[in-house]
Amino acid sequence: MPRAGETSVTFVTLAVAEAARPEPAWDLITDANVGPSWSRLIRLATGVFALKNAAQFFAIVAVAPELAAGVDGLAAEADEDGAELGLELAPEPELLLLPEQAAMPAPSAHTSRVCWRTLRAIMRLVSNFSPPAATRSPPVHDVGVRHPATSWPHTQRMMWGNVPVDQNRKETQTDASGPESPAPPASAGAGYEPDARYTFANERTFLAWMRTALGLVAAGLAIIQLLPPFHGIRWGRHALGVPLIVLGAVVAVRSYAEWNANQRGLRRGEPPRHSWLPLLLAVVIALVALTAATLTLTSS
Amino acid sequence: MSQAGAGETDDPGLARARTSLAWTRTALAFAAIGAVILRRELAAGSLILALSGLVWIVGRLARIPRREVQPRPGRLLVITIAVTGVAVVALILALFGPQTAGLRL
Repeated sequence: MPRAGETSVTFVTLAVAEAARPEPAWDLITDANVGPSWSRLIRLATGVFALKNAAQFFAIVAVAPELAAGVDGLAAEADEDGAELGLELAPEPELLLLPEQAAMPAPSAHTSRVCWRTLRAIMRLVSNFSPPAATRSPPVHDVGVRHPATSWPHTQRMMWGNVPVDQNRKETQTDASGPESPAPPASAGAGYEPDARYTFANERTFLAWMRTALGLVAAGLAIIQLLPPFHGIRWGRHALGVPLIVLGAVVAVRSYAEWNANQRGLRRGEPPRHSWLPLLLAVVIALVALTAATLTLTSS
Repeated sequence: MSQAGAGETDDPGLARARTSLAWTRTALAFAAIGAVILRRELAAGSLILALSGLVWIVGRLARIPRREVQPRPGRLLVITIAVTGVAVVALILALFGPQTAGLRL
């Protein structure tokens, strides 16, 4: 039987291994693991701690008077040297005890810093898409020092704040009283961040166009939904309302582009760009009015 | 432009307040058109009403005085997208919405 043969071979092998390695001293190993010779219990029981503390105490007592005498001697020598030189040692400053909180950092300092960074990152992500690098500008202060009186007209000088932007986007000093203050460039890739009031005005103009767009959309929707249908003309209401709604969408998109262009122009000191939005608005509204009049006359 | 005095030119506080009021008016316009669309489309109207709240919050953020005044293209882009979305919703309602008899005055 093959299985018996294998058993026999295994038995011989185990016997040889057992003979080569005697049974370990399990009791000794267990005792050593529970209470090793270097454990605190063993050292306390054998008096190591006591001896160590006692030895350190006597060593300090023996050395301390000599150290105190040495320090006093040095101080006396220094006084004598100072007296010989006509100098007086400054009185030793009194060390004040620090309050407990002085030794501890503010517990919420790191937390508040992390929260503030996170909030700023979120706000930057949500509310500020970075402009292109060529037009990005350093911060501008509300209360700014405008450019000095040069050959620039007054109204044009007022358009800039105090932070010019060069090609390397570095701030340069613009002191109003300085004779070497640089004049703003007429047109270049670089520019000056405009005065805050112009930035606000540009933003308000954009918002006014947005409200105009919303009004056009509302008017178009109201014409289609609320106006009684024209007799015999099924598409009459749509002919009036759909152009207004489409015009609202166009005005919304175009006004953002114009805001961007105006901001860039303010930064570069260029004159205001010509806008064709008012003309478009006037033409479309006039056409809608003519269509409404035609439909009204035709249907009646 | 008339030449303004130094005090007027150095203080943009009123400009900031006017801008904040402009944001508020825009939020009211959003709310008005949201209420109109809400009568026809509940989901779209609710979304536009929620947008009016967002616009109002953005306006409040613009009211906060800061030492640095920088243009915020992100906010304006969000408003642009919102208005364009409102126009698209209105166009869909106008073309594919239910035909009504209109108001009888």
